[in-house]
Amino acid sequence: MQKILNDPAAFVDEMLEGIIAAHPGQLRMPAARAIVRADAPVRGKVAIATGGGSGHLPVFMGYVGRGLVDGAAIGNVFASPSSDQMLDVTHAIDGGAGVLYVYGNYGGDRLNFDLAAELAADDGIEVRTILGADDVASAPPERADSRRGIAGIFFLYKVAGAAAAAGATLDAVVTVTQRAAAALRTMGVALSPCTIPAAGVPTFELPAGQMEIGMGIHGEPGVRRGALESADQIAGELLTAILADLPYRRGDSVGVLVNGLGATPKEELYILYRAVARLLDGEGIAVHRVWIGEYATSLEMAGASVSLIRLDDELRGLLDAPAETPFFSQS
Amino acid sequence: MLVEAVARDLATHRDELNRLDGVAGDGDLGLTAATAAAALLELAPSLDSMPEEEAIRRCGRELATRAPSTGGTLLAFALMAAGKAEVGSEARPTARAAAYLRAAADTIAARGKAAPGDRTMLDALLPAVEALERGATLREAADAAAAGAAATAAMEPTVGRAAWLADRARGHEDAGARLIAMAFEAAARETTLGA
Repeated sequence: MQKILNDPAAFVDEMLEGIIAAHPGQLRMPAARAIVRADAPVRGKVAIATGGGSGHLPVFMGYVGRGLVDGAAIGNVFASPSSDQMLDVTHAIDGGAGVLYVYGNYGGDRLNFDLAAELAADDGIEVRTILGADDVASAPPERADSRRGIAGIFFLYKVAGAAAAAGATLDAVVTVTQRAAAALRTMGVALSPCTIPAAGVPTFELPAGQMEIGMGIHGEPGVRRGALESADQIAGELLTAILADLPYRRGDSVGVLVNGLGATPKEELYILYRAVARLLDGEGIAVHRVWIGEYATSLEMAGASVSLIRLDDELRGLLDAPAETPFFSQS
Repeated sequence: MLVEAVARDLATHRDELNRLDGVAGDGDLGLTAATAAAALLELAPSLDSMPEEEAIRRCGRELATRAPSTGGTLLAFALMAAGKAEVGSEARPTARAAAYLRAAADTIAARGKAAPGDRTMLDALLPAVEALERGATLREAADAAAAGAAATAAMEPTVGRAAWLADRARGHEDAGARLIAMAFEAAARETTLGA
């Protein structure tokens, strides 16, 4: 894989410098690898923090802005940031109403975010945590709390960010975001691997003509590897697993996210959505709103994921609320 | 004082710990230990004026911010939990140490999802804690930690990066367990606690 780089070891820091240079009115970096909205802290507002390894743009700092998250701690490619960075973010965004950590369910991230939460508590900042654990392929329902967090975390940012922007208390933001997390499911398919710049070799081998259903966004093994199938067949396999898992029922109203992993063009995502829409219609499930594009990538991995979130009136209102960041805006 | 003695000693073992960690890990535990030691040496003068529990928590906080790695983070959690342990005010120094270190071991087990025999720092720490709980001296606890660390050479790694490289690990002591044994040894040499 050919890459546009200066020094592979400088990948993360040069990327961050570019982002800050491009969006000085929206983002600032108060400490190393700690990105916060330019106007942070917002006094009296619950602050939302996230973070994790690099390589997933717009996850994580692409969602830093109005109506979404207040700050993000950025690690090396596919590696957790330190508790120190998370604490820096926490201090920079705390507006006196408490801080909610929303991040993906990975061991290193949990260790460091939990430690940051404990250090923040020592400093008098109340911190609560909600994990993204939406990947149905990563563990069976009886071990749902060990599932990995993937693209569906966008919905958690949206719900938590909109609730906080509307002036909800920390307890209220936690309650509604937990409800969103419980109603959220994702599954993906990988068609090609990605190459971590500092490693220089692909993270895994996937022979031409093959796909892997359920592969994680760092190349974690999925549930099935086989010959590449049609968009309609892939949509069918992903949706069947997702719909059975919650389960989603006739009459439900859902938000849908079709996410590209980095190298799959939007055209193909829309071909995938065409099939998803037909299948949902056949199930009697109403689509309230759709987001299609790159929301959580894995460098230049080819493939896509489909996320569904079951909605009630409050969640619909929060998903429809305006938001504006360098990577995402909705009015 | 104890913190300075342990920190000064650990810094001298950087290369040995790196080598042990490199057998089945990423080979940076010695670096983490040296970084942590330097941070604790800087911190040490300010600890004298603090209550014991607060000083322990302060050490944990320093590791959290200055030695970020899985090993450093686990030790930071351990010290922060130790500083919150219930310790009777009249307890003997070794009994207080036992209570602090029991809380530390419980935290490492929970956070690291490790059990005794998994070839981790717990395999050195728990024998020392159990010895202290039985009324042993710090010298005897340090010997128990060293024996526990030595025993890890025959254990299969089941958690962390080393679990992927189980074959390479066999026959070598676990680096984390060795680090714990070194810390106990330095503490035992420094103090007459419980003697």
